[in-house]
Amino acid sequence: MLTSFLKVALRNLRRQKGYTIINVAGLAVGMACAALILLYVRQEVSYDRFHRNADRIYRLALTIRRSGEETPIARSAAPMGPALAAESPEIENTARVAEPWTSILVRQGDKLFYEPGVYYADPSLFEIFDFPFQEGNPATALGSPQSVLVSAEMAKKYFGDEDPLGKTLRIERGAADYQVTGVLKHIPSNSHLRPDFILPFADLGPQRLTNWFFFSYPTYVLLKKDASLGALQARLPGFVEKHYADAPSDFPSISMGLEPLADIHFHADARESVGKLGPVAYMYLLSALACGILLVACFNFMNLATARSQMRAMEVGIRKVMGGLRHHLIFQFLAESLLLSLAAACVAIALIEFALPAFNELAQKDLSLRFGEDWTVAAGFFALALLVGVGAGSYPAFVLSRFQPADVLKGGTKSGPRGLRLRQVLVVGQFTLSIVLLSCTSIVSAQMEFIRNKRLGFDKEQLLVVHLKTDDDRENCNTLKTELLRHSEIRSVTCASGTPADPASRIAVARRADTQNEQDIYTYHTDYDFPGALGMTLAAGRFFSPEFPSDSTRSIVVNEAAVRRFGWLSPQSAIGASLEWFMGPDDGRQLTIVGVIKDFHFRPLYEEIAPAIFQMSPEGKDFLMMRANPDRMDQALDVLRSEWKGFDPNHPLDFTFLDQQVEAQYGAETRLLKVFGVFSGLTILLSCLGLLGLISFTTEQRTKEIGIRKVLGASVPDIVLMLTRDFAWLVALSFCAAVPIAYFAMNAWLENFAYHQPVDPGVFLFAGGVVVCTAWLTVGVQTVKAALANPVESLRYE
Amino acid sequence: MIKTKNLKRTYVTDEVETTALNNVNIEINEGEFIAIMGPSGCGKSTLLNILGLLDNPSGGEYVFAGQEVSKHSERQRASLRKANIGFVFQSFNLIDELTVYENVELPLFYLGVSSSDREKRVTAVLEQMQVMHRKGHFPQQLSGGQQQRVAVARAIIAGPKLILADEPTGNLDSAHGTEVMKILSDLNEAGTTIVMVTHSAHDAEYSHRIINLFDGHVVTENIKEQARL
Repeated sequence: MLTSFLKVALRNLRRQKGYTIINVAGLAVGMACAALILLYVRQEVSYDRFHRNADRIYRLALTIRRSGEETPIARSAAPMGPALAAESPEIENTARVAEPWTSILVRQGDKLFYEPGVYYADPSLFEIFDFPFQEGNPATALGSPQSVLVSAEMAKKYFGDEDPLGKTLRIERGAADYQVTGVLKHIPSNSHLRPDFILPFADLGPQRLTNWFFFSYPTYVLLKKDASLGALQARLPGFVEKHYADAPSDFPSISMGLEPLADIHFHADARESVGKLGPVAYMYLLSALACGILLVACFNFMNLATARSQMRAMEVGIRKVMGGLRHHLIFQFLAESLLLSLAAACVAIALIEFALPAFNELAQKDLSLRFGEDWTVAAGFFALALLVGVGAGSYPAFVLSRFQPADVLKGGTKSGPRGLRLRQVLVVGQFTLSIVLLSCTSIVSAQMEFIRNKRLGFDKEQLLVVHLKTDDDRENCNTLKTELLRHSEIRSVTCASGTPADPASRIAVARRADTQNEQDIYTYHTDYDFPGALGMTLAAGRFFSPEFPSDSTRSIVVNEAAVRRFGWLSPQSAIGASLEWFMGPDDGRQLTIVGVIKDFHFRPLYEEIAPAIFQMSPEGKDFLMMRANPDRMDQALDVLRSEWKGFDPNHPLDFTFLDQQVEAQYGAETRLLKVFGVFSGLTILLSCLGLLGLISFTTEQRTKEIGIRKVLGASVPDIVLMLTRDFAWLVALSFCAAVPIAYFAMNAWLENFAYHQPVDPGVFLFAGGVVVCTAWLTVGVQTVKAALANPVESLRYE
Repeated sequence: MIKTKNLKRTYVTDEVETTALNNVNIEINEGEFIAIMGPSGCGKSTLLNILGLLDNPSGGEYVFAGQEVSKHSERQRASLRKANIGFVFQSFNLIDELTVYENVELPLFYLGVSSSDREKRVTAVLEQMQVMHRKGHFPQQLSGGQQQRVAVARAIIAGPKLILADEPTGNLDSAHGTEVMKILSDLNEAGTTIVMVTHSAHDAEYSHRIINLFDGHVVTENIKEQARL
């Protein structure tokens, strides 16, 4: 029976090619989009779950409290892990990791690169996590000093096809030679730890390993199989109390917690950028988008199938007259829709394979279908096809199979107002989604544009940032500066500890001398030329100057935010006031404010501008920033390259552009915008595809009516108006439904940004306009064709 | 075989009640060839639908093969119908997506007949109707007469006791029409009861008895000889 149904289904689909193509294409695009998004979401939520012990691994999480403010950090002090393990019977093992904070020069023969993935780790890392070895022994690989593990990719990069084991790499952390003792197999991209090189943790030196106040090392804990998490958690406050009992009085209070391995990925992202609406919310949003697109494709299918019901009615009638029962027919129609959805699934797989490279680029992932390796992907895909087939096919199946043979054979097969109403509801649903997506895309895009064009308080154009990697380079920054300034291509140069887009996370504590008001404060070490070179202006006072010798020892400049936070009434009134300083050699020293710099956005626009302090200092100059004269950037770059060769012939030049650095702060948003853009375009395309199918069937159904109207004197515009009026109010209704949804959703998103524009109502008009125009174009051709037809033909046709 | 008592059928649409059949009392015996005649809209097709168990009457009784069936459910009617009644329509009503062979096979399919048995019976009937050479063609590829012969083949494939024909020659030219009437007449002679709705006095000549309907009532019942007068 099934073969017979399939045969009939195939013939039906072949006969109605247009209908089949619209349906298969629509379903395939819908399924491909949904599958891509789901693959992405699946990878995001599956982070770190591939380790056998995943459910027993936790990372120590600290919370630091200062002046009522809590700061969560995922790093611990080096002695914490081993001490906790010694005192807690619940713990089977611990491992500490030092993550890279900058890229490090790695050299092998004449190959030398700055590598961003140089880690330190305890050997026990491989007892806790499953990072399989391609070569070497996990138990001994990190056992001796100056040994290094490399990833398979790095082994290939530095040693080609040679066996790297036993060979040496010069890694410029103290310029030491490290011997390769193992090669790690490829680490899946859904791992939050993806080291390229691992050095022994012990190599960090005893000063760091014994310091209880230097919170810098992620520490992982493996619980024993039957151990109670609660018991370990209950032990933590006592642990902190015991080991921090004699901490200095100005040391903030800390508390400890345990973060499950599976949560780390999302928490890490949440800390880094996306503010209140964390990446988990983006996952929900994307999943909703996937469902939405799939629904639109299913709606198309249902719409077309019910619109076509009159064509199939006669067949239903005859089959019933010949003894067919309702369940036979339901089964038959479901078989047909399953066939369609399976065909669509095959097309979708091809589409995904085609689109994956671009999507990976967009989402910065390395997703792949890998049916062979991962049966869940294949099973998931099959389930998706089944779900779509049954989901989209069941409504038409139940409607069609309900026809009474006596009615059908009499010709009374109009599907009636109920079917019509359903189709209208589905069309409204589709266009609502299209308008919502398009509005959201426009609003996200407007906000990104706002960010790009917002006056950040400094001039980010034509500015090149050189990363100074070695102590020698940092100390001699001024020499390079002087050399560069000799050239006419270069307008200005400054050396500083941070760029205007990134203070490089230097945070100190400062206290207002007269009121004892204490604040965390971002710190810049600069030279005399910092504001001038970066296009910043002063709100009061002056910047450092060689005319004032005390500037290099006792003067500071603050920003306007610091003036507000410390409670001065105006920038002017802060001049001459004192701040106590708690960092480095200046600990506890009184410094005098000589100037107030106008606020600039040194953190992403999610955050309000925080207090910052500027200090003249010969040290800590990690960056040299150079502004070229207008239109001389290329020449300036050549100058820099040749000067660098004389300045530090042993290290390659490493630079970025400031505007790129600013842009990179909004990576998640830029990706979101692109993803939204692509998928909203596809949703509109799908909706129009559905509308095209629907309108061609309705005009076909109304051929006789059109013929009669024309005989009675209706003009072509009359007919076009009549046919398009029906859908026009559907689009209007969609518009009314879409505006509040998009408005509230986008307001919630914009709340993430401390600085944003209000939602512009024009955006909705634009989105509505685009959808109306595309719909008009879609419908227009069909209706004009119907209206132009000779009435004699259409009446004879009836 | 068929007996109706005060049979009534009304349609209600948008608060307008239309009476299609009113107090129809007819009796048809096994082996008879009956023609139902009357002007357009007199209720002929409605009566045929009820007699064919495609529709239930709104009132009155309908006894088919000794069973009162006027209150039967769709499922009960379907099972009675597929075993006992064959249909021939004016517009043939062949399924466009099925071949000649598959169209004829359809009733056996729903009766659950095995595929080898189906093949034998379909081949026999197609040969009887002289369309065997067309068995792999689709309906649109056949002439009207051929299509109607396929429809007749489909109507008789399950060996029904009753064939209901609704204007079987209405869409055919006279040569093909005569051919189809000849086939129906032969089937009747072989023992099948035939009830045929027709406008054509020529076709009615093949029947034993004519039932005239007007505005939903039976106005006269004539035997064939009277009709010829």
